[in-house]
Amino acid sequence: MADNELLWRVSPSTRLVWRRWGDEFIVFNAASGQTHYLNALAARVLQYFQEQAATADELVDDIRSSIPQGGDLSILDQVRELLTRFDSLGLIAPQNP
Amino acid sequence: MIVGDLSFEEFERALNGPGVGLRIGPFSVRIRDGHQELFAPTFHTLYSEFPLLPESEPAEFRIQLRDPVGLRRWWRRQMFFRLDDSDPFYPFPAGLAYPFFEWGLNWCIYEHVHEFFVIHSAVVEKRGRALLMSAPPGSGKSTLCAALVNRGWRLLSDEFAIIDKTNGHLIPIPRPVGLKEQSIEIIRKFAPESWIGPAFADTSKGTVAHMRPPAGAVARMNEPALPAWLVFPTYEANAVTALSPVSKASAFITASENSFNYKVLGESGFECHARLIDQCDCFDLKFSDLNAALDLIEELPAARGSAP
Repeated sequence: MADNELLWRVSPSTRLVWRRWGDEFIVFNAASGQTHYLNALAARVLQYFQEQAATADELVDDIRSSIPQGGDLSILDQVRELLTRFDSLGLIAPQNP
Repeated sequence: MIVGDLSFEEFERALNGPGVGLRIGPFSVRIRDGHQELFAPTFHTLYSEFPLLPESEPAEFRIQLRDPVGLRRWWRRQMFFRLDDSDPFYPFPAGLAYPFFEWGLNWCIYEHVHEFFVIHSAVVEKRGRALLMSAPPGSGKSTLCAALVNRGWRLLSDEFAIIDKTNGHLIPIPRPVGLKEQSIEIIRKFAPESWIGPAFADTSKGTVAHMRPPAGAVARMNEPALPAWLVFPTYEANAVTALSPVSKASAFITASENSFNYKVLGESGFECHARLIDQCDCFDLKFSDLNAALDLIEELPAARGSAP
């Protein structure tokens, strides 16, 4: 399966506890005990995968649909970077289709 | 009855006998021995206002400053800090018994006290609102703390923010304020009326001395305070002294890194810390001029418009 077809999501067994202050977020992973600082885009990505399994392209489409003028072309790159980072932190994992 | 009610001879007799028990904020400590010429008089004076624990009452921390067996009892004399039946540290030069007692007691607190959320921070209070100054060693937090205490702020601690997880209140533990190197002379000049104990040279932290906590702070050590400001101080020679707002999320991360038990407490630590951040206005304080830094801090209550 190509990377862009991978379905990602937060594991249902992972409990994330959130706090938001303005455009900044802190999320606590109750399973690992780790705490993460997220900006608005990172928080949106993680919350999206907390609600459903999706590919990176589906997520980017969702983000662009909510941004006037379709958003920045670099969003896909940023999302891919975030996926790699979240995967390495154990916050999300690829799902079987 | 407080330590100062005992004559020095009575105090020393108790120390060398059943031990001297003290109530220090939410903790009780019993200490025995410490046969070293500077230890007993320094301890007797610095803790003079603290309530004595009745001999029959058990203490949470039972500390003995004991002599070693063998040659090091006489030649380049050393001592051990013993907690119950364990010696958690290497022996230290006997002449440094007092600072080692203070560091050992710090260790007892941050290693064992997990019913509270504990941050490495000085804490002072005015009109019921507490200012936390959280930073690694060498940042100037104890100097600021000692100076603020001598300007009318109440001392809660120069080392620990002890936070009640159930309600977010800051619990006082107003032990002597540890001063290092140039800070000792700075505070001697800033507050000549304060009592600062002997200077102990050649410790791992350089020369250290301790300022006696004000009697009022000890008398009110059962009165918690509400957090209002979280400041991250950094002393930097020649820097422009300035207080700059810090985002709450960023303050959350920095203060959690300065916590002794954030990771140990798991989700309850996260919730307690988040509440602290909710309650506080957060700032970085870079300073080179103590008086200018104090003036900026004194403006915080007015800026918040906080009536008690």
